[in-house]
Amino acid sequence: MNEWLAHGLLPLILLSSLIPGLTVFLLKESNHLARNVLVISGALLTVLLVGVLIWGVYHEYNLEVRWQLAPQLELLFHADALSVFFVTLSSVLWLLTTIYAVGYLQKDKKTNRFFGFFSLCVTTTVGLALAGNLFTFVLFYELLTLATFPLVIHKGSAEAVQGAKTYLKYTLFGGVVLLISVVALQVMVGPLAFQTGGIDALKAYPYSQWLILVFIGLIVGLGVKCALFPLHGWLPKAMVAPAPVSALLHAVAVVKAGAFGIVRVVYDVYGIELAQQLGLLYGLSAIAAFTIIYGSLKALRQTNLKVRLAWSTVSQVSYIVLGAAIFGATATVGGLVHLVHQGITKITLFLAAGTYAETLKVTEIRQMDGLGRIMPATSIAFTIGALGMIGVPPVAGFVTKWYLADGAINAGMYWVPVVLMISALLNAAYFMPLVYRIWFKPPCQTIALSPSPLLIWPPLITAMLALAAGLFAAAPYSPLEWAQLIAEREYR
Amino acid sequence: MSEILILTSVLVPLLAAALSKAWPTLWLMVCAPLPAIASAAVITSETVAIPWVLLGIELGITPLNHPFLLVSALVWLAAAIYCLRFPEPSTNSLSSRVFALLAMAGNFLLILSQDAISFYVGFTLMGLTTYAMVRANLSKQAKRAALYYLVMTLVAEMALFFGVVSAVKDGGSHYFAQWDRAQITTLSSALLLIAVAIKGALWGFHGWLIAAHSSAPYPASAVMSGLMVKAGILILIKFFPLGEIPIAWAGYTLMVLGAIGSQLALLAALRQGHPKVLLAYSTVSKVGILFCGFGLILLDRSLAPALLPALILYACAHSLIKSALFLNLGVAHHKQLPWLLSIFPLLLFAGIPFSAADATKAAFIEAITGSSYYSIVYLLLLSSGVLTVLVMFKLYKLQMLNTQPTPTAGPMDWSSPLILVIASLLLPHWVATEFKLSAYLPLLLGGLVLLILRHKLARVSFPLTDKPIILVGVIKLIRRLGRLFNNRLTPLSIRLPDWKLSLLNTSSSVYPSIGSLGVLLLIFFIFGGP
Amino acid sequence: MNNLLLSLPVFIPLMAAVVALLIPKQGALLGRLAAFLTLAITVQLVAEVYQSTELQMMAGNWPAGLAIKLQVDGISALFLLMSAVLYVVLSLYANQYFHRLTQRSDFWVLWGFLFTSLHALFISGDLFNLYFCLELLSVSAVGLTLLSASRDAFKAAGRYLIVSLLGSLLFLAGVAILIAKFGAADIHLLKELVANDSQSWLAFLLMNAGLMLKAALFPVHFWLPATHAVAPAPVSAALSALVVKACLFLIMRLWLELFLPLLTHQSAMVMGSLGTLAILLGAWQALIAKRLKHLAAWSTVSQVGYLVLFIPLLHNHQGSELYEPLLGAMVLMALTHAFAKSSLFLCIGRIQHAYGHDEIEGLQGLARLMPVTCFSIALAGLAIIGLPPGGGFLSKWLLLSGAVEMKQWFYTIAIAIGTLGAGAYLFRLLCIAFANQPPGVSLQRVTLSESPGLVLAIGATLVLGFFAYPIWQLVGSAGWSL
Repeated sequence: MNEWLAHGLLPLILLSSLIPGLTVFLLKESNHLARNVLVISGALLTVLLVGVLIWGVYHEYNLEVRWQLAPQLELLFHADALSVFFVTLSSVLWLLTTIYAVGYLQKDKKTNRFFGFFSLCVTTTVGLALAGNLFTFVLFYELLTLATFPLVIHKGSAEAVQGAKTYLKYTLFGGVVLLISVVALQVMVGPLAFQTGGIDALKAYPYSQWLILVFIGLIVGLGVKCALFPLHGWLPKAMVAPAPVSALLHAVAVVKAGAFGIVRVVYDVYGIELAQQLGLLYGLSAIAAFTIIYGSLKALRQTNLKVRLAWSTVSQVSYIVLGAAIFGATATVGGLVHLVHQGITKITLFLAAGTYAETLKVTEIRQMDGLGRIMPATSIAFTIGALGMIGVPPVAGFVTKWYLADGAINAGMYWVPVVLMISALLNAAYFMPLVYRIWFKPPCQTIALSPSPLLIWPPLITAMLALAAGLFAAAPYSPLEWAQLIAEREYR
Repeated sequence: MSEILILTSVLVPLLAAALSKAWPTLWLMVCAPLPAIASAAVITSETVAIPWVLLGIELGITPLNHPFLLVSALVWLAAAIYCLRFPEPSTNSLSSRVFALLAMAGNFLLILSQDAISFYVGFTLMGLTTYAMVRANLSKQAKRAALYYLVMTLVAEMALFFGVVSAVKDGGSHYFAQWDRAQITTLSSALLLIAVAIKGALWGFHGWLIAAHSSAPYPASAVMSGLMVKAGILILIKFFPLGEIPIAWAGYTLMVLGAIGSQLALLAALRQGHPKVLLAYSTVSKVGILFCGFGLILLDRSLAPALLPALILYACAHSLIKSALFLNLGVAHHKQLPWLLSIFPLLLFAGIPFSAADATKAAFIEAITGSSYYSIVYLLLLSSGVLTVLVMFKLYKLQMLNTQPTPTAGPMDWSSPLILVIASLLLPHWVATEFKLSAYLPLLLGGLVLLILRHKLARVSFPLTDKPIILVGVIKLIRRLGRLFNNRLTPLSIRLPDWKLSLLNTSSSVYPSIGSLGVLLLIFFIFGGP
Repeated sequence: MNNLLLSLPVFIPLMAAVVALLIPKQGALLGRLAAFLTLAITVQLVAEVYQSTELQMMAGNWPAGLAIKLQVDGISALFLLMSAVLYVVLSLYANQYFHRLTQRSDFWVLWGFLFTSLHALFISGDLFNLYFCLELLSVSAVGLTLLSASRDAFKAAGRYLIVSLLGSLLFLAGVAILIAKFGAADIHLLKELVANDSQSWLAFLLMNAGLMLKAALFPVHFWLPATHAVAPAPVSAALSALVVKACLFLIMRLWLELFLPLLTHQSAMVMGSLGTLAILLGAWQALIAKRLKHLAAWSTVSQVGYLVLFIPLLHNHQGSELYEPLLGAMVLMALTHAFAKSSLFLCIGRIQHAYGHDEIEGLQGLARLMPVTCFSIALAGLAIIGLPPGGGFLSKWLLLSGAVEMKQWFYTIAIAIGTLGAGAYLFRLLCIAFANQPPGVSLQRVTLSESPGLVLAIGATLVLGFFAYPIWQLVGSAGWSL
C-alpha cells in the first residue's frame, strides 16, 4: 500500500488527465457521447485520486517520484501541503469547468481539439503543482504556455489571433527570462529541490548581489503569468478565448501558475527569512500593491464585462503575491488562501459571464440590466462572486482580506491595509454597479430563456464553494486550515 | 436547548429568506423574528461557540445585548404585521421580502455576536441588504437616497473591517470574552469610530440617514430608524473599553458632535413639512444624546456601571417608540386612526410620566449625577426635551393634515404600532428609578413654550430671529456653518412631492440662528469641561 | 562477428543502391528493406557499444596508421542510430512521395549511396576514409537535389556541387598535409602526433574551413537555404538533418579529438562568435521568410550555430564536471534537431502536396484542415526552439548552464534572443494555422502519409525529452573527454 502510494499515485494523477486528453484527439468530431464520457470521467478520476493524495499528505507520507532526464536535470515530483493545495484547486475546478464546457461547446466544430488541449492544460498545471524542484517547475511552466495557446486562439477570428499573439509575446519572454534565471541559480548553488524554509545551499551562497539579481529575474519570469505590473498586458487581450478557457485561465491555470511560482520561490527556494534579509520583500510587496490598485482602476473604466473581469484578475492575483511578500505567518496564510479563494470566486464570475454571453449574447455591461429576473440562478452565482471579490462576508474573499490586513499590521506595514481598503472600495465601485444592474434595473429583454443545466450548475456550485469556503473557514480540511498548515511548516 | 434557540434566532430568518420564493406569504416574515423573541424571553445569559464557522464564532446573550435583542425582534415583528395588513409592492414583492429577511438575520447576528467576525458579518449583511429596502419605493428620490446610503455604508463597512482587524490584533483574540479591550490603539479606535459615526448618523455624518429614512416605505423606515442606527451604538458597546480606560479624544468627539446633533437636528426637524423627514431628524437628535452619553463614559470611566445600562435602555426606548411612530404614520396614511392612538405615541415620545422615554431619561440623569459634566448634559437634555415637545406637536399637525378621512382603521390595522407602544410601556419596569420632578422639567417647559408658540409653530417653523445674539465678530462663520448644515449634508431631504408642501415655505433666516447655536455649544463644551 | 556488425551499416545501403541500379523496379522495396535491416543492425551495434565502450575494425592489409579503420564509440554510435532511424522513416515517406518511375529509380540509387557515405563517415577512424566518404556524400546529395528537376533546382544544385567540391578539396588538402608530415591517417595515432607547429595549424585551418563550408556555418551559409528549399521533401529532410550533422560531427572531432592539444581557448571563442552570429541571423531570416521551406532552411542555419556554440564551452570545461553533460547535450541537440527538422520538412512536403504551395501567409486553417501535420509541425518546432517537452529543452538548459558557468553573457543573451526568435517564427506560423480558414476550402482526410512526420516529431520531443539519459552513459564511454 505504502509502496504503491509513494511511487504510483503521482504519475497516476498526471496520467488521469493526460490520457483522456490525448485520446480525445483520436475521436471522431461527431462522437459527442464518447468524448463527453471520456473527459468527464477523466476529470472525476483525477478528483478521486487527488482525494487520496490529500489523505496521504495529511498523514505525512513521503510521496515522491524521480526520473533522471539528463545529468543535473531530474524530473522530480513531490507532494507537499502546498502542492496539494494547488492540485486540489485545479482538479476540482477542472471537473466543473469541463462539465460547463460540455454544455458551452455544443455547437462548436473543433470540440476535440478544445478538450484535448483543455486536458493537457490541466495535466501541466498539476505537474507544475507537484513539481519537486525548480527544473520540473520550469518545464511545466513552459508547457503550460504551449497547452493554453490553442485554447486562447480557439475561435480563430482575427481578434483571437491577435490575443494569442499578445499572449505569446509576453509568456515567451517571461519563459526565457525564467529559464535563464533558474539556470543561473542552478549554476550558482547546485540542484534546486524545493525545501520548506528555503534551500540550504542557497542560504550559504556568499554573493548576495547575485541572489538579488536572480530573484528579480525569477519574479519577472513568473510575474508575466501572474500579470504583475508592468507584465500584465496580455491578460485583458486573452479575453477573446471561450468562456471556460477564460475561466480556467484566470482562476487556475495560468495566472495561478505564476502566483504559485512566486510563492514557491519566496518560501521554498529562497526562504522567507533570506528574502527578508536581502530586502527583496519590500520591492515585491510594493509592486504587488501597485498592481492591486492599478488593476482595479483599469477595471473601473471598462465597459465590456469580460474585460472588466480580466482587469479585476490583474488586481486580485497580486493579493497572493502581496501575501507572500509580507513577512509573517498570518500574511502567508492570507496570500496562500487567496490562491483558492480567488480561484473559486473568479471562476464563478467567468462561468456566469459565459452563460450570459452564450444564452443572451450579453457581453457589454450596459446589456446586463434586469438579468436577475431572466436568469436568477446564474445571477445569484454572479452576485456571490462579485461580493466575494469585494470581500463582503461571509463569501471567501473576506477571509483573505482579514489575514492579509492582520499580517500586514503584525509586520508593521501599515500602508498595506490602506491599499487593501482602497482596493476593496474600488472593487465595490466596479462590481456593485453590475449587481445593481442585474437585480434592480428593469430587463431590456423579456424572453425567458432556460439555458442548458450544464451552463447553470457549475457557476452555482463554484459560488456555493466560495460561500462555503468563507462561511466554514475554520472547519477542518478547509482551504484556510490547509493554508495555516503550510504556513506553520514554513515558519517552523 | 437554549443554544439551539439562539442559533435559530439567526437561522430562521435566513431560512425564511431561502424559502420566500416557494412560499410567497408574509407570514414567513411574521414568524421569522419569533425565535429571537423566544430566546430573549427565555434566556438571560448563554453563549454558543461554533468554532468551524467563519474563523470561529460565538453567539450569545449577555446583559448588554439582551434588551437590544428583545426590542429588535419586537420591532421586526411589528413591521411584519404592518406589511401583512397593508400590502404594497414596495414591501411585499419577493425581492423586498428576501432583502428584509436577510437584513433581519444580519440584525440579529449583529446583536447576538460575541466575537468580532460575526459582528462584522452581521453588520455587512444588514447594511447591504438595507440598500434594497431604502430603494423599494423606486422613486427617483428613493434611488438617489439608496445610492447615497450604499456609498456611506460601504465606507463604514471598510472602516469597520480594518478597524476590527486592527483591534483584534491589539486585543489578542477575536472573541470578545478573551479580548483585552484596554489594549486598543488609536488607529483601531479611529477606524472604528468612523464606522460608528457613519452608521450611527453622528452629527456631520447624518446626511444619508435623512435621505434614506424619509424615502423608504414606512415599515422599512421604522426598522431603520429604530434598529439599524443602533448598530453604531453596538460597535461602541462591543469594541470600546467602556469603563476600562478613558479615550479622551474619542470621548470629546462623540460628546461634542453628539451634543450639537441633538440640538440642531431638532431645530431642523421643526422646519420640515414631511413627517418622515421630521422623524428622521428626531432620530439624529436622539442618537446624538446617546453618543453624548457614550462620550461621557469614554471620558470618565467611573460613570460606566450606572450610565451604560441607562444608555442601553434609552436606546431601546427610542427604538420602540420611534418605530411605533413610523408605523403609526403608515397606518394613518391608509386609514383614519382613532384620535387617542394617533396622539398617544407622540406623548410617549415627548416623555409623559411613566413612559419609557421618561423613565430612561430619568435613569440617564441619575447616572450622571455628580459627574463634572452633569450640568451641561442636563441642560442638553432639558433643551432637547423642550424641543421634542415642539417637534411632536408639529408632527401631530402634519399627521392630521395627512390622515385619510375614511375608512376608519380597525384594531387589526393599528395592532402593529400598538405592540410597540405596549412594549414601551412595559419597559420602565426594567428600570427602577425614583420619581423625580426634575425629570419632568423638559416636559413642563416644552408644554409652556408650546402654548405660547403653537400657532406660529403650526404655520411656519421655529421662531428664531436672524438677529445675532452672539458676538458680531463670528457672525460670518456662524452663517456659513448654518448653511453647511442645511444645504450640503442633507441634499435630498426636502422635496417630497406627494406631501402637502404648504408648510415648507420657511424663511431662510433660521439657518444663521441654528449655526450660532451650534457654535455656542461647541464653545461651551470645549471651555466648559473640567 | 564484431567486424561484420561494424561494416554492415555501410554495406547494406550500398547493396541496396547497387541492386536498385540493376533492377529499378524493385528499388523501392529493397530500399525500405535495407533501411529496416540497417536499423536492426545499428540497434544491435549500439547495444554492443553500450556494453563494451568501443568497437574497432581494420580493413585491408595496409600498414598501421594508413589502414582503413572503422571504429564506433558512444558518440558515433548515437549518430549512426540517428541516421538509421531517419533512414527508415524517410524511406517510408519517400516511397509515397515519388510517383514517376524514373524519378523513383534514380532516387533509390542515390539514396543508398547517401546513407552508405553517411554511415561510413560516422564510423571511419581514419582521415583518408573520411575524405572519401565526404566526397561520396556530396555527390549523392547533389544528385538527390537535382531530382526535383526544375530550373531553380539546377541552379541550386550547381552551386551546391561547387561548394561541396570546394569543401572536400580543402579538407583533402588538410589531410594531405597531415599524412605528409606524420605519415599516418589514423585519427587515434595522429591525435598523439599533432604539435603546435605551423603545418598542423595549416592542416587544421584547411580542414576546418572545408567542413564549415559544407556544414553551412555562418558566414559561409549562403548556399544552404536555396538548396534545401528546392530539393524534394525527403531529400531536404536528409540534407538538413543528416548531411549537415555529419559535417558538424567531423568539426567536433577535429576540435575535440584530433587537434585538441593544438587549440587554444581564444580560437574556440572565434567559433563561438560565429555560432552566435549564425543563431541570430538564422532566427531573423526565418522570421521574415515567406515560404515554409525557407523558414525551415534558415532555422537549420540557426541550429548549426547552436551546435557550434558548444565548441568554446566544451573547450573551457575540459576536465570539469560539466564536460560530459555538455558533450551529451551537444549530441542530444544534434539528434533532436535531426528528428525535428526532418519532421518539419516531411510536413512541409505534405502541405505542398495538399495546398499546392508553401507560402506561409496562405496557410490559414491548417490546424483544422490537416490537424496531424499541424500538430507535428508544432511539436517539431518546440523541439527546435528548445521548449519542453523535448531534447531541445534539456540540451539548451545545459548549454545555458555552460554559458553561465563561464560567465559568457554574450552567449547567454544570444541564446535567449535566438530562442525568442525561434519562438516567434514558429508561433507566427501557428497563429496563421489556427486562424479560421477562408471559406470554400475543404477538409483533408487524415492519411497515413502524415504519420512519418508525426513519428519523428514525437521522437524529437517525447522520446528524446524523457528517455535521453542513456545518451550520457554512451557519451561517457566515448574517448573524447580527457
